[in-house]
Amino acid sequence: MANLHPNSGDPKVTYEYRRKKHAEEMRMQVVTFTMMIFFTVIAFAAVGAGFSKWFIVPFVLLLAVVQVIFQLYYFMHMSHKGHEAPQLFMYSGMLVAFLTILTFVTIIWW
Amino acid sequence: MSSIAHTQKRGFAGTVWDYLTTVDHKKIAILYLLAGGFFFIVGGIEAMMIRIQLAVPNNDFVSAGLFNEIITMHGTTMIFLAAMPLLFAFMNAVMPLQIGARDVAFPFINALGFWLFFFGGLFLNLSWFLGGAPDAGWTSYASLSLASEGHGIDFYALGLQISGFGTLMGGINFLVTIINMRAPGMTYMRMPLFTWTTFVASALILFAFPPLTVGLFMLIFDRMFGSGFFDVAMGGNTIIWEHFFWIFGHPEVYILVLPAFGIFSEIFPTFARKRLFGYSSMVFATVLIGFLGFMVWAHHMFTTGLGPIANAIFAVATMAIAVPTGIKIFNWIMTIWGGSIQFTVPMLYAVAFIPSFVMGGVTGVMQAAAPADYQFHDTYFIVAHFHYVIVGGIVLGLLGGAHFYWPLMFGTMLSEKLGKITFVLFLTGFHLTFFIQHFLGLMGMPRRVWTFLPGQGLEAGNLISSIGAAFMAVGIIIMLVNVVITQKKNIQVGRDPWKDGRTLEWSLPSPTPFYNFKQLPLVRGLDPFWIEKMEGKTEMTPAEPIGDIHMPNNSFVPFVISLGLFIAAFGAMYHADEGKGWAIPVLIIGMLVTFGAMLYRSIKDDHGYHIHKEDLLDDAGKGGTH
Amino acid sequence: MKQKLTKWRLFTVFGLMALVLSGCGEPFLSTLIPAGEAGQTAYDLMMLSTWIMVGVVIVVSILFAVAVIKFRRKKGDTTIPKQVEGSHILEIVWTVIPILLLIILTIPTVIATFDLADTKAMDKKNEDGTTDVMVVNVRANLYWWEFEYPNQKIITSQDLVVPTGQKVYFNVKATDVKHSFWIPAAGGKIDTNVENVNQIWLEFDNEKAAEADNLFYGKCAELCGPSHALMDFKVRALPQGEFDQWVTAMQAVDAEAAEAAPTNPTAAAGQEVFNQKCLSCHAVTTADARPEAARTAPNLANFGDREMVAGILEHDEEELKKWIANPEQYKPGNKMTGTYGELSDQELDQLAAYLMSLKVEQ
Repeated sequence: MANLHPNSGDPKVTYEYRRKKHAEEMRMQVVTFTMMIFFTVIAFAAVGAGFSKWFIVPFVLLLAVVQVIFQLYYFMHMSHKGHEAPQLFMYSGMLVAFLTILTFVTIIWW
Repeated sequence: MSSIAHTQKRGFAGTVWDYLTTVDHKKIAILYLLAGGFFFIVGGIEAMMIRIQLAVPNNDFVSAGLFNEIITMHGTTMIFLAAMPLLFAFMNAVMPLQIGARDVAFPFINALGFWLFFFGGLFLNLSWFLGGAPDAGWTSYASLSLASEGHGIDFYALGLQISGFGTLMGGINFLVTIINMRAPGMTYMRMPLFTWTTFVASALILFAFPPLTVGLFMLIFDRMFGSGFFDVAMGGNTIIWEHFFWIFGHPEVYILVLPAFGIFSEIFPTFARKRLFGYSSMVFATVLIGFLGFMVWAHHMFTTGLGPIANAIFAVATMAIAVPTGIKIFNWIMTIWGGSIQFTVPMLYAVAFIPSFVMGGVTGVMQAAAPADYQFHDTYFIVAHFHYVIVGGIVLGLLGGAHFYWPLMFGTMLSEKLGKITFVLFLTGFHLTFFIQHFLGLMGMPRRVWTFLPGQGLEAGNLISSIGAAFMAVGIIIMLVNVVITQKKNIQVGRDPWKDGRTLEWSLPSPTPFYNFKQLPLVRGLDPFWIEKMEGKTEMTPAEPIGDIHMPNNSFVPFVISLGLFIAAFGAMYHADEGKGWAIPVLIIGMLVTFGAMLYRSIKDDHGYHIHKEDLLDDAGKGGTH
Repeated sequence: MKQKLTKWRLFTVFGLMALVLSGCGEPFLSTLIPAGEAGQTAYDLMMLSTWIMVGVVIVVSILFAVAVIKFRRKKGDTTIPKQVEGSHILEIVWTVIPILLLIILTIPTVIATFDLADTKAMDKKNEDGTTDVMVVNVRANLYWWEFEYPNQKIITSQDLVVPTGQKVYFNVKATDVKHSFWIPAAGGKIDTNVENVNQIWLEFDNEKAAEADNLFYGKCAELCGPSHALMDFKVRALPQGEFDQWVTAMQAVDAEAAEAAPTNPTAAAGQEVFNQKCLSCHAVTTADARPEAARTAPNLANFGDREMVAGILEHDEEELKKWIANPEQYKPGNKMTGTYGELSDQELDQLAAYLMSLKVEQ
């Protein structure tokens, strides 16, 4: 990973540091993965339990959004340094899209 | 395939092949300049025909149906096939050099973007010879465009769709280049303003072209494949087209104007010998204009019946854009305040731009007041407004930029004398043509009218307007003469021809080596070349030792991919017609050509080639710098 | 200095033009001579925005002209001027002042937007389905206009007759493609869409109408096809008494009245021709009971009173005959071409006489 620049000349120190970093990352990924499976199960359970659709639809959408965030940040490494530009563009795009949809659903009736 | 061919003498055929297969951003810039320039002339001829037809009442210089085709093509050609490509020409030629890069991030895609634009534009203009051009205005509103007989609108939809792919690719390419390929020391806040405006305009392209793509797809499917998106009888809605079109259309005009602003932001400091005033504010204003540009599209639809709440909100949002634009105008004025101003041709254009664009901008704010717009909309007042901002802003930027960047792109300098003549004629003609149109609109003349009746007070204004158009035409002809004479004489002017270059592009030898920078430069601040000059140096300090340079190979594949789509478009357009059984096979063959070429590109490894260190060291002695 | 001369020349041209052209145009057509409340509201906002913006242009131009003149490089001067990074105070000044100017513009804008959109009065229906206010249903077609008066139960075309001194409410829509309904002297425009009905109110002031000879020009303001420029309609704004007289006279043109043969023999023969070739599309009674989809041509009940033939030609028998003989020449793309075959010169004379006899006014 190019982002994890070693800043120590001593190869042994660098190696130790990288190992620790990798182990942490692995832990985050496993935890995240588990949570995502959990959320998916909850989503299915919510539908199966027969709650009102006014609750289920926003709820499942919320779970989906959380899962997308997890994927982006932990599996696609958006939490690392060097991802400022993708973050900027994704959030601005989402903001513009949100405002456009909001406009159509509220002040413009067609 | 190694092609260290920059010193090879090439015959005419060789040069043509070089340009057909080039992936070099500097040559692609020249291609954009030539194609955009050609379409600008086409659009200009269409404009002359419009003004001749409208010079006197009840004129029959052209028929009504032909007139509608001419106005449609004038707008479509000028915006999509002239202004955008010419701006792309400058963005391609200048931006990589300004950030100290050796090319854009994806040179192959850069070439593909050009050829898609070219074939899309060619397809659209073939409509003139193949049964009639589109005739529903450049906005192609859905009820009229669905009803339009003949294939004109099909040419419009398919041609713009293909061109649009090219533009979108170009935008993404520029974004990636600027984010990833800046020279060491060039932080975001040390990028020249032209690079910043390229960046924001490319972000606008990224977000604005998809709505157009969607709208065009719906139009294509409604007209050619039997769907009913805009067909009221089938439960569709024509206003949806207007929304899609303007969600694209409004950011589009900022895509056009921001790079022009960027060009002026380079010209003012150079010819006033003074750094750009308020750099951070200029950057902030650029970003704000880009962002707000997405929030205002319904101001083109005030009379559609959206209701007072929507109209009021969009009116206020539209007025807000005046604030960052005003910030930029004042910062430009303060840049030259206290400077040492030299009136070269680029500076003349910059000087003329300020009052002209401000006049166009203020009529925009007037139109933002929705109830006033109920009178202005679809009249010559609007025509006057947008020509003031487009011609007074963008075209003056293109003409000034052409003079300013000519030495960078061609090594020669356009004649100052002829340039000044063009400037005076064009500026006079521009104001004469369009100022009076404000009043024509206020006096009750709608737009897109083939003729006007006598006795309604509209004769004098229209005649004056037509006379002004003639001035502009003569000015442009003289510009063409200037170009031809300059290129024939081919007097090379050498590095930093304007003597006061501040940014990296002027630090390179002239003509620019095909690999741009032998060693990536070390950027120590804003206006990096100026900093070195103030310390008495004539070149940039390098940031790396001389080493092998990795260059991309030329490729014919972009041309083939674009050609395939061009062929397929004919099949799509004619497949529903009587007796055109060849259409579906042609559609399939075209798609096969495109996808086949894409597959070929994906599968066959092409690692480019290396220029070896030794050759570069040799080059240093061989007149690489004069 | 070349550019200085250019700029002074331009400013003089603008100045003169602005002086000459302000408040200019024809009173029956110009938005600068508003003839009613809606037009006046729009005009006031136009003037407010113009004056604010002219102020901005003047300030910018002066600053700019001073900068360009004062700091020109003298011959042989090679000094490098002081490089100024910026000024926070100036940035704040020229951000805040424009915002203040925009606020001054925004408040009247929002108020006027809601004012002009207030068509509540036309939705209040009485027990018999009529409204208390004046309502006209407008249908835009390629290339003619139909005006239906639901309260008065009459239909007419091309010449819209309205009473002065009160708000007139319009329901507007289009039958084929999008058009736009605009009476510049009276107020702003509203698009006539195919998928919905839009609503707008206009008012015609008595005095202003008199100054324009009680005749205003209407335009189509959305590209609709080759003859978009030729879709003019007329608006006759009459004082209440005259308007009521007109309505009564129009209501009298019922089926019985329409069937009666005109006294002039040429016109009577013309009626025969008309019934054969034209009646299937063109009604000559004002109480045309056919559904909208069947009303595919202008109502001709009061054709003899109209200002123009087909909206654009002089209203006399010569022009009328030319129009009927070859409508495509005058309005390319119109929907009447080719629907009734060739007519002989005699038939044309008779038709013209008949149509000119269709009057309700003296």
